[in-house]
Amino acid sequence: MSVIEMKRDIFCVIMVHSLGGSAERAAPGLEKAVRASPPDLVILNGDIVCGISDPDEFASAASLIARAAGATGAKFAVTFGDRDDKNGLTRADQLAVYRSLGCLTEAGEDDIDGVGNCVISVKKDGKTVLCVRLFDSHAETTAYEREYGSPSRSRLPYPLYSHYYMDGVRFNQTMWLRRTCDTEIPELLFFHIPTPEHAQLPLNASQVGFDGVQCEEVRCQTVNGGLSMTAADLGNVLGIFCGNDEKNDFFGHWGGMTLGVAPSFAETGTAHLIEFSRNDGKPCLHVSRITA
Amino acid sequence: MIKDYSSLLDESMKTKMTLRAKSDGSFRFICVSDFHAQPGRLADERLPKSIAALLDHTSADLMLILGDLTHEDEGLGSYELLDRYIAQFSAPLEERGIPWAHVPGNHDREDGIPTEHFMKYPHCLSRRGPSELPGYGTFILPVYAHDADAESDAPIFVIYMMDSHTGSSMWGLERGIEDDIGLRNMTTGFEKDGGVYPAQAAWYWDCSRELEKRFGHKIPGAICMHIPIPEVRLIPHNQWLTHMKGELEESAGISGINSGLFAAAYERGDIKAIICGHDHINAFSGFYMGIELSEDAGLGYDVYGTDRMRGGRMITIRESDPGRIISEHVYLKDIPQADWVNTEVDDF
Repeated sequence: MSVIEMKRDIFCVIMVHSLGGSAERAAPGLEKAVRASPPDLVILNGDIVCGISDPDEFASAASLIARAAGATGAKFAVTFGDRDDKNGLTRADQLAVYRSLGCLTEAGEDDIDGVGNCVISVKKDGKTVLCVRLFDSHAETTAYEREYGSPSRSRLPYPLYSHYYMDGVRFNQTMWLRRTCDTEIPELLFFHIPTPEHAQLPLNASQVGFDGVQCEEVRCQTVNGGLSMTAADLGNVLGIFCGNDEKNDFFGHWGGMTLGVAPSFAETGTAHLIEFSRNDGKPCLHVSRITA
Repeated sequence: MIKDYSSLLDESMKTKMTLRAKSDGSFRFICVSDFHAQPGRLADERLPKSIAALLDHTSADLMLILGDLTHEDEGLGSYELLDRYIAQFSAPLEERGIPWAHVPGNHDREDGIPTEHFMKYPHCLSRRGPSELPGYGTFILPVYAHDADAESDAPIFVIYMMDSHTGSSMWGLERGIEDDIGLRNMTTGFEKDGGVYPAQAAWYWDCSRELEKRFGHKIPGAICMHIPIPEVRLIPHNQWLTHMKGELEESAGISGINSGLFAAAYERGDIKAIICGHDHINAFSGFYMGIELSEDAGLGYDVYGTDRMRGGRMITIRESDPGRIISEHVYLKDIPQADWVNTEVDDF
């Protein structure tokens, strides 16, 4: 398990995703956002370096991003998004490159789906005060259908949650959260593809204290893997932060947690800032935006 | 909090009577629901007559009552009357020696219909289920081959019975969270109904895996409960692509929360059907990703309903190939014995 020291009374995470096709273009903006904060941890939440098939080119693009993320000395971690499949390298190979650049993400257990399901432990005075949990939310439903032998498509013309065909955090990964979490320690969850509950926030705006904008349909998971409801039920998860969408940028409160969907960094230059602290001993979360 | 529910498998499967296929290798169960008995009186006399007609027509080996046995929080108002009501509707079952069991619905409250009042009937297999689970009616009914040794052989089929709770706001109230978690989705509608909680989805997952580990193969099964999981709404909204059979006269009422039970069943690959009650004038089924999702119509005469749909969902299993179930809605109107049926008049 990776460990980060909590040096201040506040632990600050910057989350960005969808950095676009050009690392050269994305890196200066990322560095600007990081310098403006500055964070303790930068999470590159999927669709990081996209569309590169040559391993050396990939490594140099990844190192540009890593250098920008670490511009103020912060650690960084990655999760994989649907477009990270569109590189010539497998997710495991990409992770090896990121790890060689100091990335905290670990490959994760073999018997659950995906690469990079892992926990980063945030310690203060030798005690874990916060867990940052990362998931692989896969890519499109075709893989979910193929891997588990669905005789028909999961995407239907009149869907419950989304017209898109996104995979997401699957039920076996939800069970990994249940199996491995310590309900006494607060947790933050990060992954690329929003859960159906994220997509329902704008439809239930007043109920959830909707904060932000919805400019397009939320590209959420098609078959609900039960992650948000399980996290709410466990009671120690403070927030679940996702990406995938290009322009949607919102937060909402649901089930005692904060759910967030950030816009594409390449499109908007917006990062989500998630600050954890303790107020009177109670865990406390503050969310906001930084625009580079 | 329990991390692994597999240790609850034996307790979850403990039944006072072994359910077996007939000597011809077939086993049939029928699901009915929504009796909605009102406080202060017994159920309409057509209810036990309907149960008798369905049993005789289908020669079912097991009847499952999927919730809303009573209408109000107080049940029937007194346990004395509750006992007379249970005796009333279970008489056809007990007289024929046919096992039966129930799960609670959103109208039922535990102090209104305590499970012990059911369990004293010799053929009633209802249980409260392991106390570690939320609710008061989550347990497993295993079905064995006609010549199996229930002590050592694998069941041919397992029926996961689940309490789907009441309203979505109850989840928060139980945890000191004031906000209602029931969320409207893209299909819109009233989404404040309860549903299976994450601990029950985890219980299904762990028990299903433990069964496979113990017997070396997946045991096919069905999940029965009152409030439909959200995915049930996909069937009437996508009738052609889901090969819908049956009909609707009201919007399919679904759970406002989603604990991922459908995804769990899909990833495990052993659940053939998810059968629900809740709606009174819907009787339909359809397939989503290889799992049949269905709603039976309400059978009760003390609440809105219609003789055009009254009946139950009948599932037939053969021990030679228990993974291939035969599922159909049996209509009371098709049973000659049910001569009181009047499809011209609605009861609401």
